[in-house]
Amino acid sequence: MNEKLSSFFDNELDSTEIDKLLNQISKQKKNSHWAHYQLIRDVIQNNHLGSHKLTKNIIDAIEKEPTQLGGFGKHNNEPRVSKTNYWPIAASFAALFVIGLTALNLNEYKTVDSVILVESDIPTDLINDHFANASSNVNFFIQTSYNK
Amino acid sequence: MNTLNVLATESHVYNIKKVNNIEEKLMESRPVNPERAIDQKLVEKCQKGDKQAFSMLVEKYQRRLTRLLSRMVRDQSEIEDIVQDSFIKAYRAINNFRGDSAFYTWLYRIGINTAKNHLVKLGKRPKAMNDVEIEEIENFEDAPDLRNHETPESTMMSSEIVASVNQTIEALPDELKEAISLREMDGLSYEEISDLMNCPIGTVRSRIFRAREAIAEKLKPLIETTNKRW
Repeated sequence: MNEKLSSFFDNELDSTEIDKLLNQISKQKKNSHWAHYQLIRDVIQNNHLGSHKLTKNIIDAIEKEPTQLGGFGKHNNEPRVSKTNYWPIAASFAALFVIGLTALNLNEYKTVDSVILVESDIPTDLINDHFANASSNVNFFIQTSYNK
Repeated sequence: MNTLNVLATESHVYNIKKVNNIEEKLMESRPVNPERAIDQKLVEKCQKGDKQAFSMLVEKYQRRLTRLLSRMVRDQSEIEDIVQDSFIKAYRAINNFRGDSAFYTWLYRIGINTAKNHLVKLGKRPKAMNDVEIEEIENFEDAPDLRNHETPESTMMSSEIVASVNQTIEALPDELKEAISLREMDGLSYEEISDLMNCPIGTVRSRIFRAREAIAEKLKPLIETTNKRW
C-alpha cells in the first residue's frame, strides 16, 4: 500500500486506484508515511521545515471539529429534473369534484315542492316529531322514506 | 536544467540532448498542475467526511503557509496561531471549495485574511497589506525568507533532520539516489525518469519508494526523540 501512496504522492497513481488507496488510508488511525514523504521533499527542496508540533496541534484541532459532509467536489452539469409529485394535487381536485357533485344532488331534495308533497302524505304530528328528533335534514329524509 | 548539469558532473553522465527532447515532449503532454490533481482528490475525500484526507493536506501545506505568513507577521507564536486558525477555517469551509482555483491558492487567501484580521485586532500593522504585496508574497514563495523566525531549538532540530536526510541519500545505492534526486530535485515524472535511467516505469516507482522508505526509516527515531521539542 505504501508504494501506491508514494506513487500518489507524485501524482503517478492510476485514477482507478486512488479511491481504493484513500479508503484504505482513512481506515487507518494514523499514516505517518505521507508526513515523512512530505518532510523528505521539503528537506531535499530546501523548504522551511517549521514546527512538527504545529502540524500535530492542527490535526488534533481538526479532530475535534464536527465532520464536514456534502461538498461540491464535482460539478453536476446534468439538467435538473423536477421531482414534484402531482398525485396529491390530482387527488385534491377529484375530492372537490365529488363533494361538489354530492352538494348538487342534496340540493335537489331541498326544493319546496318535494317538501310539500311529503307533508301532504304524512300526518302533521308525525312530521313535528321528526323535526323535534331529527338532527339533520338527512335523517329526516331517510326516516320519511323508511316510513313509506 | 542546472541541477541536471550538476548531476552530470557528479558521476551521473546524462545525455543532455535526450533530456531536452524529453522535456519538450513532456511540456506538451503533462497535465497543467499535477499537485492540483492530488489536492482535488484529497478535498473530495474530505468533503465526504474523511478527516484523514484533510490531515494529509495539513501535512502538505503547513510549512508553506507558515513560510508565507512569516512575511506578514513578525511574532513566531502569532504565526503558529494564525496558521492553525487558517486550517480550521479552511476545514469548516471545505464544502464551499468548488475547485475553481487550486486548493493552495484558496488556503493561502484564507491564511492572508486570517493574518490581516489578527493584526487589525491587535492594532498592529501587517508587514504586507495591499494586493500587490500579497501577490508578490505568493509569487516569490520559494525565495529565502529575510527574517529567521525559528527559535534556536527548532533551528537545531531542523538542522539535524536536514543532515540526516542528506546523509541517508548519500548512502543510498546509486540507482535509488538517482531516482529520488530526479524526482524531488528536478521534478521529473516517472516516465521521464524511466527514459533517462533506461528502465521500466514500474522500476522507477519501486526505486523512488525504496529510497523514501530508507530515508524515512532513518528519520523515524530522530522525529520521535525530537517530537517533544520540535
